Amino acid sequence: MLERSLKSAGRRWLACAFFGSFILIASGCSSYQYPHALRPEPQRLHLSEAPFFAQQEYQCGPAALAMLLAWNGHDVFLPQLEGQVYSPELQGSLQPSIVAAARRQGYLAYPLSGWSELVAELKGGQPVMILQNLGLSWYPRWHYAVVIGYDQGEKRVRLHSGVYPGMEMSMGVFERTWRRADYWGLVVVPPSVLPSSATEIAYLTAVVGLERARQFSAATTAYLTATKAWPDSFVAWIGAGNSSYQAGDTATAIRSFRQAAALRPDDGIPLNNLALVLAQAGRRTEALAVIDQAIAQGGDRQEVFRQTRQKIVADSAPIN
Amino acid sequence: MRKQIIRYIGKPLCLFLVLCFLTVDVGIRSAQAGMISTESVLAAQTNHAARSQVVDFFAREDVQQVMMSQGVAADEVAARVASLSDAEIMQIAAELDQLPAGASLGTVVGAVLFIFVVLLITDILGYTKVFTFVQPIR
Repeated sequence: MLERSLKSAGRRWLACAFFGSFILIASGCSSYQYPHALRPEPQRLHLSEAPFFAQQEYQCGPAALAMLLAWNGHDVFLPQLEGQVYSPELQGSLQPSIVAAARRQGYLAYPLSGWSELVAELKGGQPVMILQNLGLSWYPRWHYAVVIGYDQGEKRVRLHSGVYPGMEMSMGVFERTWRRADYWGLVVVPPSVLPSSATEIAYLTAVVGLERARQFSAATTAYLTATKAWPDSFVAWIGAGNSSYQAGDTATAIRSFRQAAALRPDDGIPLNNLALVLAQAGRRTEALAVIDQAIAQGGDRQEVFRQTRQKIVADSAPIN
Repeated sequence: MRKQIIRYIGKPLCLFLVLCFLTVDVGIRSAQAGMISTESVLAAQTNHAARSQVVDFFAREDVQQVMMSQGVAADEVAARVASLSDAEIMQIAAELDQLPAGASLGTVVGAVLFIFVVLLITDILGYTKVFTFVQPIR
């Protein structure tokens, strides 16, 4: 509890500390266990092309985000990112504002946790933003950096950190500072790219965030990316339908809801949404047939389906 | 004068207020027509997946053996898992996720004991009734 409150206090300070704090770490007595996920190959990895942005003052977050966006071909304007991410009177944690800023550029922010996912992303060619506590749990110094490689033989991790491009850090120090930040990591990818460590539910959760940020065409692309990896994903098809409808792409919406309905013929949800899209497109007879089918399926949401039917009837009633 | 005013507007005012409250009530109860959000569909799916993960865990033979050795009937616990809320199920599923794929029986025992503790707490709070010896606080 105490640790948590100190943590949030530390985040509020936004202290991106530098190397003085390493002395504190060196005197820490936690024993270092070699991360077993790193034993498998590859022995070493280095994304030597990963771009570097030097941080200004305390703004390690925007700089780290800029590196990920630039790597994925985004035309980064750092001061604009700083305006979106950095807040002098920040309340609570900073990670959500980094995630939100990535979404505002139409990119998918996929959080990860731990070594195996970190290695999977590097292997897949994505630099990974990580959070470190360069201080101690009771005296935190929070810092964002970008992991661009590692070498198992020399037990070193390579980071773009602060004002130092390609900085090398011993694996032990990295492990301890990262652990103090609960192994928080983030990759930022265009919506057409599936992160290498992605799992279905976690990926879809990330895309829901993109949808909530009203990036509807990006969200549509991301949901369709998910349907390529998991063709039987009901949620992915529903999401593709909802986002493309919001983006004004009726044809994709209809196709997606039909796909979802085919996956779960006894579920009225895709039919409900399909009926609304059809009604919107002026195909009233079809819409009513579809919503009647949904009502016939029953289930928890039958009342919603009935309301939808009333709405379709009311909206399309001839005005005298 | 004041009495007259109250008499004059009292009835219509009452009726108006009653109507207002009725509308509020209807507003809350009626389902919302419109698109069903991706978020709610995803949440339903996640809850469903977590629940079946927990149920599957209890169906494992080694887990049942551990519970037998603890003197707890496996089907009894499984029945009680069904009565846990979504939040509680998610908590247990998150704990199960921490187990390595080829977890040794010792780890499994630890997880089972954790679940016992959860059930014990929910028993005490009166949400569940797994253990006969627990006297709920309400």
